[in-house]
Amino acid sequence: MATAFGRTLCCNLIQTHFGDVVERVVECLINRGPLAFGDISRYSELGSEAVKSSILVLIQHSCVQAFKVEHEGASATAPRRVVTYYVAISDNIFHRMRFPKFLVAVREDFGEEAESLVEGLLEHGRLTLEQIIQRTAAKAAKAEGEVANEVKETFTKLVTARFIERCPSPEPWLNQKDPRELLSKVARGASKVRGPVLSAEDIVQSEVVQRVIKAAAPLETQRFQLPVSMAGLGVSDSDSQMAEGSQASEKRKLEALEMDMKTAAAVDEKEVLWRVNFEEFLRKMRHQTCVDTVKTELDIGASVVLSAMLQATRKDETSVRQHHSVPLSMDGITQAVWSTPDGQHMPLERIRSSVQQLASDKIGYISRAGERAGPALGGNSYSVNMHNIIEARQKSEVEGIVLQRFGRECCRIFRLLVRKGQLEQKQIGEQAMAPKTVKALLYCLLKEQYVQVQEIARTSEHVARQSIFLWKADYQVVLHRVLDDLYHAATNLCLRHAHEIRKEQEVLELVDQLDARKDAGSDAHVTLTSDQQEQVKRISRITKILDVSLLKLDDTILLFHDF
Amino acid sequence: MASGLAQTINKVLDLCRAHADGLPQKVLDEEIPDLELLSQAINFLLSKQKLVVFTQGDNIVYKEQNTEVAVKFKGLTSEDMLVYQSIEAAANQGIWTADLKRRTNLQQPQINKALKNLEGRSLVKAVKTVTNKNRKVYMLFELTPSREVTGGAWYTEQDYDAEFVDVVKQQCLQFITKQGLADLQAIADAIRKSGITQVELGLEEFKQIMDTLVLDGDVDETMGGETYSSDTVCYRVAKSRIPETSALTNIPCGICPVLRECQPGGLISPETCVYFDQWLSF
Ligand code: SF4
Repeated sequence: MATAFGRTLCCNLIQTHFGDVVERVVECLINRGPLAFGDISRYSELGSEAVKSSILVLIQHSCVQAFKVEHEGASATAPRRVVTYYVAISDNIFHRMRFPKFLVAVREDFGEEAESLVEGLLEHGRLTLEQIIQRTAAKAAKAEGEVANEVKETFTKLVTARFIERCPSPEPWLNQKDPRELLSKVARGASKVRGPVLSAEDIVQSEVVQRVIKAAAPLETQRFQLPVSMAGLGVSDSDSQMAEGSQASEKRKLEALEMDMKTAAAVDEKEVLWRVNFEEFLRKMRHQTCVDTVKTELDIGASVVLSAMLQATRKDETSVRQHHSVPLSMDGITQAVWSTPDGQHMPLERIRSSVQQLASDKIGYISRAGERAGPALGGNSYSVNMHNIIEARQKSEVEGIVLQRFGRECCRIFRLLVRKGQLEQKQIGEQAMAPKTVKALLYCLLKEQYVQVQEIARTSEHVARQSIFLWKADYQVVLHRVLDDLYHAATNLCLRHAHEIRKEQEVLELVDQLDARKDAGSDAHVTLTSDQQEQVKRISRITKILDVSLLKLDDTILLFHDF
Repeated sequence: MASGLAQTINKVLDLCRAHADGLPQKVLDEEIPDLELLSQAINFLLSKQKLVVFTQGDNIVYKEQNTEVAVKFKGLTSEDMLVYQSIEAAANQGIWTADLKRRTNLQQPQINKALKNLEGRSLVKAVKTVTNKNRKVYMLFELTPSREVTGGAWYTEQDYDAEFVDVVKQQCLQFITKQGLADLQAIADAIRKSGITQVELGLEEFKQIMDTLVLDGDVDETMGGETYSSDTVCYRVAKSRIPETSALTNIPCGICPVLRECQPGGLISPETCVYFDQWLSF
């Protein structure tokens, strides 16, 4: 689900990371929906070689997914045709601006080695275990054998924590009910410069993307299955499965399996591709947002409890946008809290009262999950209402934006409309206590599409003077509006960034040359003039401001788009 | 003849007194069959402001003007009286000149003249309305304009007094902050006692203020608590305020007036944007 400026931002990110040619390919896919190879070439006006290499890069980085569709022949006797289509996965493209955040997150949990491993995967998109080991060795200037065990250990930790996963199938079939109809609906779409924030086509397209992703995804059990050679290192599902078959008759099979496993191990390390599992990173950040919200709205104690609950049930979540966590009994919660570093000394009473506090607040951070659990299961169970928390956060963010952008009175009117539904201008003026200014304020909000107005004709001739005008704030529309503005602002930050760099190209190149010479060991005879030094200082300060602003802005984009 | 007229006049007045709530034309016609005499008598009385004419439904009724009132209206023309009556009927809502014209069927100059006369004698007054500032309505001099006309307590001289509203809001907020929890009555009592205003504020007005404070995110509404019963609406300072900063509005584009017109490579574009120049230059 990308808005108009979301699409622009996608193209922009690709342009910065992979250059103009790849961008043209992405632009076609983003604006026109899934396309076959020939069509990409036609629309992008690029040669097939260029398209091919672009697509390979994009697939490597999970920005594009291929899928096959079987078309019926032109006539009943004609053979069926199989066509491969390519679809852009805009979510994954957006994730590219979050890489720094992912790295920070993984370092927090697993230290620097893990960070470097993930960094490698982010840089190359997909790698085999063998390649990962090679890369680490090269970086540390050591032999592969020296680092292999250490890498494998880190690798296992990351797979177990689900931060990395096996890559999806490269070209799945899409043969659920009539995909062609969906495709024909989106494929004809020309690029839309302006228009509604989210068109019907966007929604259809996002449906296609979801289905393709689902078709390509490995089975949940395989997704985080360690390479065979390392199965013993982690708690893999396959272990327990094998232990069950211990009958004598099975024994031979097991031996054969072991033989197989040796070869399989080699194949596994050399051929199975791994990539970063963005979902898990998102989940972690989403949890963090929930915990932070509770910390500011309630207190630290409550946030420790909530954090422990989320941790304990994390593995049971099936989607990033999970509404509720799996219910946890009071005992379960206590155990979970005591097993976290922050909560290990928390007295039972304190935990109980925090749970009460979380459950009784009007946002409903957690709720009792059905009395039916009964005392047998340790009394009441509670689950975290992540959805409620995220919604509350979004609401407060929207209101903050309205407040700062349009002022206190506009914000009051906006909140009034969100609460009351529809009102006439006069009523709004009275209830928001702004009878003089209400008209100007409403038109200001209308212009920026934060409120809507509807004419209800009292006469059949639609005489405007006699009509009633009802104002309302459609919250869903506002959410999309805000999201689009966020994308727009992010695009502008990126463009300005590129522009500033371009302006100072000369000096920056000079700096690079000097650095290179220094590295080569020659004394730098040439130094920068003081003016040039100023320039370098300025550009590094500016790019830093822009970078930091983009990362912060992206936190809000995550809140509105991914959580 | 003259004595006949005098007799008739007295008879009319007697009849008026007998029918204090209005003497119908029908009764007059029955009692004084001489139409010629009757009309002369009535014209005489009307010209002397001793008699007033009303319509009650389809009937015409007469009343004797009491002496005090008679003095008040002495020398006014019948047109003036017609205008006066229309204004009187509008009560404290007042009436606009266009409506006066329609009611009385008089021409604008006649109405203007009548209004001038009436205003000169302090019988009626012109009042500005809040709904339309350039429009004046007329009402009897002694009446207090209705809330629709003045706008209520928040209006000073027909002008919405935003400053006054702000002062009262601040006072209410301060009181709640000090008090922790308070219901409407307690707030109203405290503000009235504080004497910050001479204006009479009713509970209704205080409710309006509190609703606004809730909408501003400054206070929260809760049911009961402390000494209040659980069905009393109470107010306390809001737990979480509307955020004062956000990532979006911290960068120029977030508060940019031309955000919608700004397109990459367009007339207004991020590359050439002056807001960015300023933001990045300090
Ligand atoms: S780049 Fe400049 S002109 Fe464009 S939206 Fe941002 S602040 Fe406004």
